Amino acid sequence: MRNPEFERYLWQEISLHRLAIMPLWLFACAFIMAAIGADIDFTLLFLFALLTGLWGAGMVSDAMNEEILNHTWDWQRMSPISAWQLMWGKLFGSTIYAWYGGVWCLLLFVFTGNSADFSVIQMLLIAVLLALFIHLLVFLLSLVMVLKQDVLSRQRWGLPLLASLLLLSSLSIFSEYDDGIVWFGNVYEQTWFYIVSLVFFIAWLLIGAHLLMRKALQFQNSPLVWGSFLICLWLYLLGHLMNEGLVGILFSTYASTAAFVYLLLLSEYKGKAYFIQLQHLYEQKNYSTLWRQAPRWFISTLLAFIIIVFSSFYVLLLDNNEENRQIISVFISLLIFLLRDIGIVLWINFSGYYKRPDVAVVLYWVFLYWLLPLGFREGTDTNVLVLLFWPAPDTSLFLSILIPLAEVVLVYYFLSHSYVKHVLRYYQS
Amino acid sequence: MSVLAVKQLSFDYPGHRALDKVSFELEKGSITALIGPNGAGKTTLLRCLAALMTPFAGTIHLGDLDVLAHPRLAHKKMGYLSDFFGLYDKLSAADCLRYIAKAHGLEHIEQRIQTTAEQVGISPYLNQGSTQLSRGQRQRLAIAQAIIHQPEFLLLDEPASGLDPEARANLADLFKSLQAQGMTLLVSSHILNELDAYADNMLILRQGWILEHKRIKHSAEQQQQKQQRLQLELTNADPVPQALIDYLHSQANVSQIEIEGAMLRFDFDGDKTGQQALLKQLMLADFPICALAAIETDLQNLYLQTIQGQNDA
Repeated sequence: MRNPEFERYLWQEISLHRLAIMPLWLFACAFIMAAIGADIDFTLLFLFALLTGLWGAGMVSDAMNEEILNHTWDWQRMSPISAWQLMWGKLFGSTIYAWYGGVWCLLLFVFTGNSADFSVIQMLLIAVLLALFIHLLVFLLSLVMVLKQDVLSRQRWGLPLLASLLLLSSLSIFSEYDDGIVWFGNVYEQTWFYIVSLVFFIAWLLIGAHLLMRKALQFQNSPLVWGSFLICLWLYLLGHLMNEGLVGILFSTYASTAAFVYLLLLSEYKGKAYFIQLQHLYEQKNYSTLWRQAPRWFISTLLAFIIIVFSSFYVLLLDNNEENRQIISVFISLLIFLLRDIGIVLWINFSGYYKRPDVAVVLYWVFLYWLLPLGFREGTDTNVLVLLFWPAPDTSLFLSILIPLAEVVLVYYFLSHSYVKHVLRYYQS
Repeated sequence: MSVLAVKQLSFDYPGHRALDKVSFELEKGSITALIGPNGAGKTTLLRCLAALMTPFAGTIHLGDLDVLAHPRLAHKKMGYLSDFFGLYDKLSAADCLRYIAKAHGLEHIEQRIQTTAEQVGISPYLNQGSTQLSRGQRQRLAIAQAIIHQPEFLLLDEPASGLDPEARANLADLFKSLQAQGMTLLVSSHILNELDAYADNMLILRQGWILEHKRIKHSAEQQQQKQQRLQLELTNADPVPQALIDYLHSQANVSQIEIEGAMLRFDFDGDKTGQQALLKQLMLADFPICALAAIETDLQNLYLQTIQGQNDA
């Protein structure tokens, strides 16, 4: 099927002159590196990473930014072009010239590569998948920014660098397992496991980017896809954590879900009108639309709640001893802290006191989780006050739950007042 | 028959209500001038109607289609030109149109490009890069992009801004020709004289709510109408002769007399022949008259009258 968005990029990016100049430039680079005695394989892979990975990621980042900044986004939103067409048209169209250069690098690599210590096919696969992963991640993040109605600037390297850092950190994790990776008790060869993992995350990034593009084009998405992603992520992590013990598994599952709650709290749109819309839908008993429009951080919190309830019962059923009761108290207090933080984020957004509410939220978290507990730990002998900020496994079940619960009550008291004062009254006036 | 029905539309920016329970209907085949001061909510209203922004309350129906529930279906039936529109700078004018036509899934694209380009008068520039076009040509290209799929309903936000007088006149002709093809237009502009040339309805927006929505008449229609407001200019206003006022009061077809300096304004119920007879009587009576003219109720006057009336209220 023909894709008008992809065709537009072909018209814009490809010309005979550009097609000719790229291989000439690459041959010249390879020749110079060979002349000075550099490793030609490494040079070609480095050029691929530079051209397709980093430069391509910059192009993908621009694909959305430029539509907004050049006021052409409205034309695309006013056309009946599908979200899928627009997504892959932008993803591969905007990077077509970077891929063209990358293909030349990989072809030269295949013809010149004679290193015996790695498989050429594996290397090619990893190179292509890494580039695709980084492009998709950058594209997804730029869509998140568009949907959040954040002010975009003509910067093109912020998102690619962030995505590269994430990717490098994932590479460093895998590089620690030279003897193979144990997943659900089976040992897998490190490189192939890495390739399959990349394919797994690329598939989810594609689904995510498609859903975000649908949202940008005013389609409604089912939150079930988000829930499915979290469950798949749990399963993926679970495979790695089989030897960590039940508590470790449950904690990691909860931590990964909670991490997404915090990320989504910062990245999703939290305008007052949006919450009024949700309230209207609830009052009209339009639960199906309410469900589709529910914020994804809410869905994630529901899942985190289910994990905590399940974990608590399971641990208690396993053995109702003092140590397990303390573990449960930590689980429950973690959930309570999460609820408190959600309350703080919403309160800051509704109050209207802050120009950049998300920056204020991060500052609050730095104070609550780092500076204040540090100060109290230094200034007092007791760690009871620290319970205001961190779950403590070595204190009583009663205190470790009651203290953060009191905070939640206080935060939600202010939140409800703020909602009535700044949101409800305003919209009823 | 109404083509667009808007009910109780409300939209908010953080801390500011841009549209407040806006309701109106537009007749099929009409050209409506959307006017109002800066910050009145004109652009927000147009973007909501184009389903580019989602209001927090209200409904928009284009015919039977719920625009807010099915924005992508609505986009097939409407065109929108933003006040800050952009064009793809690396493409030629023809490629810009080709891309939009393909995005709309149109058939016989080359023929459609030619027809639309001729319609807006950019045929000679189709092979030029969009950056090489003048301001007026870029504006026409953007309008061509908005109408290439032959929408039923066209929304235009400040389409004449930055255009020279000749280009504005051409634009008025274009809008009239689109209307003649059955298209319904909603045009926002600050240049009221220009709107007067083609608009047959007026929608005044102020601080997010509709101040006035009424049909306005063109000069040709005004000439045909029986009742008109006339203005008598006197050579000497100090004082306005009482005999003249009494005379006018005695005329059955004269009402609503108003005196302002050397001007006497009144409603006259009669055609051109009636006006000539009145003037002849006044001259024979030797009143100090130097001119008699019909007061044009153009868009600017109507707008100012409405705003003034609202301020007085």
